[in-house]
Amino acid sequence: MKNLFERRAAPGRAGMVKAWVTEHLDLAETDIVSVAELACHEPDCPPVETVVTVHGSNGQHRTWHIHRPLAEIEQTDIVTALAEQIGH
Amino acid sequence: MEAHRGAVLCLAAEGQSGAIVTGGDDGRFLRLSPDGSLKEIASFGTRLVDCVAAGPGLYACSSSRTAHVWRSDETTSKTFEHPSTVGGLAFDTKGRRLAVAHYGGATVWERGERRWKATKLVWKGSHGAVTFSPDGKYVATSTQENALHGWRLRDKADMRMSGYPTKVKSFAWVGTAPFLATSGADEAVCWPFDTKDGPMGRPPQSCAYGGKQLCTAVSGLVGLDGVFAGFADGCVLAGRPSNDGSMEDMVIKGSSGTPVSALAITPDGWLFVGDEAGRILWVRLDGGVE
Repeated sequence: MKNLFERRAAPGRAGMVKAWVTEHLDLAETDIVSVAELACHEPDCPPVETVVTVHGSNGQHRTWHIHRPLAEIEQTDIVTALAEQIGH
Repeated sequence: MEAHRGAVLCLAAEGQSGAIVTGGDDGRFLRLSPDGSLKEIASFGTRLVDCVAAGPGLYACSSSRTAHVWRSDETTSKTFEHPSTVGGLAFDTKGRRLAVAHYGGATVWERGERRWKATKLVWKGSHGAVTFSPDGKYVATSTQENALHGWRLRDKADMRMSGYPTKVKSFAWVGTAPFLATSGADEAVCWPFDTKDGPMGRPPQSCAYGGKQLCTAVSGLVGLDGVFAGFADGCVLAGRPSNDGSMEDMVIKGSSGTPVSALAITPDGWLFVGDEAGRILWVRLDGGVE
């Protein structure tokens, strides 16, 4: 019987974004990267943003908001976004 | 597994055993065990089983105005009559009391040495889902208005938890206070029950702001200060209640365009998300939600 609770690799672009984040931040196997495309319902906001969250195995989490749909995100967007927050 | 011959109208978890009890429009009240075995507790023929509840060693269901209560080791039930169709049932954590919501308020049935004693909690209008606070000191119901209603059982002092733009269809006890987290607004509205007066005369706290779209489902666990909120566009956010919205929310699931219709969380950290298209998504909440 298929184990529906098994941890699986994300398909498509989400999997690629996770791999870029994991590589760039040198994350461990126990750290979790989540990628979600979020519609914004506020006026003057971009219609869709992609939210990347890293859940550290120590319980801490970090979040990046990238103002474009997941399908349009390139590795350079990830590197830039991560660098900006690290720079802060 | 085909349990009911028709729609499943209601479902409640039994607790530690992992079993569930269900009611259907086929008039049957069933218990389903984790090993897949099915037991018919009662059948009411052509009458629907509208509401069900399970407590420690107890089951309850309602059909029309009557609530039926069984001890798990007995086959005969106690029956309790009410002034109108029962809208909701809930046991307290010890299984000593059963709250029944109906038109005009709620009735709390308390198990005594020989018989069950009724206490009436009055508030006009129709009352649906009902819940005891984890400490058993309060009862709250959802109403047909855009508000919840609550009673302190010690003195029947009552409180109107209002201000919602829509009806509150989902609520959950969460956190250490604890809070009664609720849907029905553009964020999870969380009423504090941490003092002797509960939320009386106090504003609610909030979290998981959905950006001017409606929160359609909430979930959480008593003792864990995290509220999970599902929204009309399909996203699920996690947040911590605060007075000023200063706590940062986390995105658990992105927007799909299909409203979240149900959320459930297990004590060992699995979050289940159901949507109006019939899909169920589950996610392991390792790490970052504490």
